Amino acid sequence: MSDGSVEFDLRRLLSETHVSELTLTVVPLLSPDQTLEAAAAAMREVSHGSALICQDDQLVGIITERDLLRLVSKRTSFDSPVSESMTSNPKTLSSDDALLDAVRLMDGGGYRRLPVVGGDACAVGIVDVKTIMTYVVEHVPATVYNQASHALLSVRRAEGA
Amino acid sequence: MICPHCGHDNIPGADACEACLQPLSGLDLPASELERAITEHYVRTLVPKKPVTVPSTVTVQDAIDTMVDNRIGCLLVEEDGQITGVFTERDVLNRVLSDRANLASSVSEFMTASPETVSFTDSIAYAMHAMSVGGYRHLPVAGEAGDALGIISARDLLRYLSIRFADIRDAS
Repeated sequence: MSDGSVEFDLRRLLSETHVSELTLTVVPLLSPDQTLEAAAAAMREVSHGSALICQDDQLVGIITERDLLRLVSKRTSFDSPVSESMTSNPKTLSSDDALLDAVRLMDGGGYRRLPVVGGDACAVGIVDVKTIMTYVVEHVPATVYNQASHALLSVRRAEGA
Repeated sequence: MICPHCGHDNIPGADACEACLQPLSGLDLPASELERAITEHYVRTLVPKKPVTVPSTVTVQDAIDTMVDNRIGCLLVEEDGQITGVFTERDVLNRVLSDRANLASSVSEFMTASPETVSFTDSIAYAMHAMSVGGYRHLPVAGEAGDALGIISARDLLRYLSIRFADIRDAS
């Protein structure tokens, strides 16, 4: 830009950063026949609000704290298998998808979390809205501050010369 | 603002870094369109959703029913017209569900008391910072008297950024 301001391009950041560069949230992996009680306990243990359901190393579903909330409101016990209350075949990301794909999926589908598949296990983790927000927050000031310190450095060099 | 010399997080507008005394003035001058927008736009720009509030005396079960009825994951708890707490689905998972007897207790026992709030006239950058430092997904918007006026979420902020600055709804 002609006024010398630092151009921070969010679209470029989101399209050039891949899911593999994020710190994914590692979530519990459960089998479909485990109970809701076991799912709740596993989520509580990692203090995260979702768990992924795998069968034969394939991702078959996701269960979230919102599902549990609905069941509590219906006065349902947590004795039944998680497969009866999970969302089957959720939308997923792969490690080489761009953040822009993740943001678009979240915006279009109203999702807050997306499982990341690929690799040896049935899923490698979750990308959630907060992960992306934190990534963006960490990168927005970086451009400005790096620029500022470069400016200070060159001034110091000039003075010392 | 974050000191580029030592990384100390200073209050906005500080002339020198509180920790290492290096000057900070002038550093915040060059900025991209996005950076200008988030420092100049207020929380009001996000059009915060109207909060759903409950009195601190309701039971946890009633609070959960209220969340489900409103399809939300976060309630504000009010007492005498002031926000006294936030109660979220994460509190349900982490603190309530280990013992179903907790459902009959008062929500005030399980809420996060005296939560951090923002005002309509705080900058979006401030809200982003507060959310990312505190690790919150929601921030209540409070009036001058501490009354509940709105609520913003990480999703609201990501939507604001990605629609305005990344054209995510473009066909391309």
